[in-house]
Amino acid sequence: MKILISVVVSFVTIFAVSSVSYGDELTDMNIFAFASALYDDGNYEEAARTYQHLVGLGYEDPTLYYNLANSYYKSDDLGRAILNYLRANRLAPFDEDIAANLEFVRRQLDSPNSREAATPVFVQIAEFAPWVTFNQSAIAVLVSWLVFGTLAALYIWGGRFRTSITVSRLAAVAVLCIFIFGSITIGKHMERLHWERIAVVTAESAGVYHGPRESLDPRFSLDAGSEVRLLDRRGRWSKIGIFDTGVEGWVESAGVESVIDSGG
Amino acid sequence: MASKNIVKTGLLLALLSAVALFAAPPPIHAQTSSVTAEVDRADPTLYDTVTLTVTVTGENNIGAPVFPTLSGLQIVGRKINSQQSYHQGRVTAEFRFIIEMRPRHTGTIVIGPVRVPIGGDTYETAPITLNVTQGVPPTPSPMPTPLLPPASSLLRPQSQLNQGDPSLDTSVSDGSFFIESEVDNDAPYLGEQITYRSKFYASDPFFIRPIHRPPDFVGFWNPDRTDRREYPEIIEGNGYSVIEYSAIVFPTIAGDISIEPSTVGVPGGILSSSFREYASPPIDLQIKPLPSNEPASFTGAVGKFEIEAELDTDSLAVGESLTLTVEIEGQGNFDTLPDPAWRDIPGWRAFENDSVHRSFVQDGVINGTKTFQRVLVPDSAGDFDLPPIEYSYFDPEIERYVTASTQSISVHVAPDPNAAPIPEPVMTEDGAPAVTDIRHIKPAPRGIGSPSDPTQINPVIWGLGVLPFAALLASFAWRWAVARREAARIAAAPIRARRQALARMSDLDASSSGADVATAALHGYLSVILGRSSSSLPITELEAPLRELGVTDNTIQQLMGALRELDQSRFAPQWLADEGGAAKAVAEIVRRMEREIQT
Repeated sequence: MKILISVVVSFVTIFAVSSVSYGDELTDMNIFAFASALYDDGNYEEAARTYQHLVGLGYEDPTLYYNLANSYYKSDDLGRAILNYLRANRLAPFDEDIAANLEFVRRQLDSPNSREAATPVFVQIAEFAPWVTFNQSAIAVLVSWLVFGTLAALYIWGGRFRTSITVSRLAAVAVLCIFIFGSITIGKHMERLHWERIAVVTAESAGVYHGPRESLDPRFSLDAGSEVRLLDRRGRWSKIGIFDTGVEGWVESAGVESVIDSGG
Repeated sequence: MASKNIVKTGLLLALLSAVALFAAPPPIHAQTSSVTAEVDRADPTLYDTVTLTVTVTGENNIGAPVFPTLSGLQIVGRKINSQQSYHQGRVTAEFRFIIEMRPRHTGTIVIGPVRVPIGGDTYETAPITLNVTQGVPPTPSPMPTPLLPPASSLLRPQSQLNQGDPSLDTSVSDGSFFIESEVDNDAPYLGEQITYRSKFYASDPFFIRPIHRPPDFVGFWNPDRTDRREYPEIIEGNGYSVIEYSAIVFPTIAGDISIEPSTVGVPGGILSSSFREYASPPIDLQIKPLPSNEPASFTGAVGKFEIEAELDTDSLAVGESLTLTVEIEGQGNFDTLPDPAWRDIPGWRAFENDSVHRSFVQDGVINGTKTFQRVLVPDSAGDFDLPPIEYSYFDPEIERYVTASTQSISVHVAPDPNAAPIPEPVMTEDGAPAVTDIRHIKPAPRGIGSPSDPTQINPVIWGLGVLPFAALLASFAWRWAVARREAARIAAAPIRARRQALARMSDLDASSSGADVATAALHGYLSVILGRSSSSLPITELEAPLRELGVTDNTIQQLMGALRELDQSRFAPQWLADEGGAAKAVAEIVRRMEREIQT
């Protein structure tokens, strides 16, 4: 029991230390409340701008994205509404309000969507631990690994440690932590890659071309809110694929936005 | 034991986790492919030749370029250059596709993008715009060229040549050479196939082959379906060599239009520098526009066509896709054959995928097929009837529009077995959806979340992960070194003991002390190899452990005999009288034992 308590306390400390505060949160909470008031007053475009300001400050919160998506929807910007519902859904995959509004807007658009996109197993694991960040889980793995390494060295050198029950139990807990947090870390990494490759058409209409160059006639066009798989970027062009169809093409990058912007 | 297993299992899991953590995604190779297109002049005149050069550079899988429809331009020459280079371990190929063209009209002509598939991607060049001006005709050749001689010089009556064809025109320079041209229909519909034919007659044999230059076919789509034949012909008792050139073209402009003259240049002969050029008169045609009562599904096809459609599967699940293949077969201009008028299919999303066509000339008519593929994705489960696909075309033979149609196709769409449950809209009693708007915004949380961190933490922290590896490796290395040193010491002990025993042999003398030294030397050796004191054991008890070490019975017997002799010689040292022989015997026993133990 003592061991368990020690382990829990250690990891809580790790997570607390590795969490970083952004901006003046008290003031920013007021901005959030102000944006919500704008929304309630029907000033949706201004509400969207205000919520977007918080996103620009570096905040990443499912409620923030959800409210921002609602504001975009009310402003008839369905592309950015879908994009931000997806961002909210990524951070809170089990939130019913987010899922309901996302589906509501998808039904209205009747455009390609990522609903059928296969979710890798590790990503599903990561979804069960939304409160842990990649860095936190990675640090937890490293600490567990250091502890285990120390215990293993003690065991190798023998002496009274070789027969110590405490050493054995601690080693077992360290192995368990490595396994759990290792899975979460891999899941977080893959989850990031997964969402980086899902993009939404935010332009009113995006022409899809055969190659990364504008020709006279696009192969076809995608409406705002269409969810596509991001396959490649080349200059100002992005190669996209329609989920589960095998149809691929190139669109101007300015017209599509990834759920997680990799900066590419 | 349990803790040992935990540690072993932990080591294995930790190693696997660490490997997975430190694994990096595969690098994306740099793309070195490029496609460029350029022309040698952007402001040509009607009399200039414009050279379009498409340069394709890539490392592998360079496909054939797909050139756009060069409307307004007549292709007069093509060639391909290629070269390969090897640089920094990579082979790069460069292809240059060169097309020489002549403008057909003044004004702006746009050369569309050239598409080149390279390694799974399709590259496109930028469109090129030409501004064509009238220009000045080139200075005529100084050589005597009796162009367009008077019709009175015809060798034979026009009626005989025309054979009912009103469009036939002929022109003859003299009795030796004449040229005539014709079309099979001088009042075709817009987009209807016509065949142009020119014949050059020569009564004198050619020493040098005549140079034929076909018309530019301004106002016509020329799919490059040309034919050239040579044959003899007797006209009014005179024998002629005939060179016949024919081309299939499609009018693209309605109204009165002329096909320019065909010309034939005839060199004077092997020893002559003269050059005579003969030209046929232009042919006037009246292109009829298509009737205005076209059906809704008409997209511009002229000819005779049939349409068929098929699906790659008639059963799929939500989230999957199927491919609809539509094939149009018949007679017409397949280079420009338009798509069917695709209609939206309720409950399905459709994506254009690809279209290919092939055509061939049969009995003087272009036949072919064009295949369109579309990817269809169902939005929901259920049984669907994909509606018929109509293809309307204008049939110039019967001079009216015809609509061909496919059958409707049934498709079963099963629910997506892997789909997450989708919140269904709540319905009211009268069947209308109760949810007509999005859910309201949420109140501000107690704290706004911080940004998710990038997936690369500090390299120093990653480096810490190496420490346990290093510590474990150092531990294993140290333990291994200690064990090796101990093993070396143990392995060296018999050798040392043997050396000591042999050294003591040299000290043997005829005194009892010599026997003591030999006994001590031998027992010292035996104690080392047996791992316990041998002097305290009865001689007979040495037999079993020595046999276990691999010492043969013969050597054991000799050893025991020597020990007995040494024991006796302490009291009666006669055995050591031959001191050197005894020492040699003991040394030999030690050496033999050492050899037998080692083997």
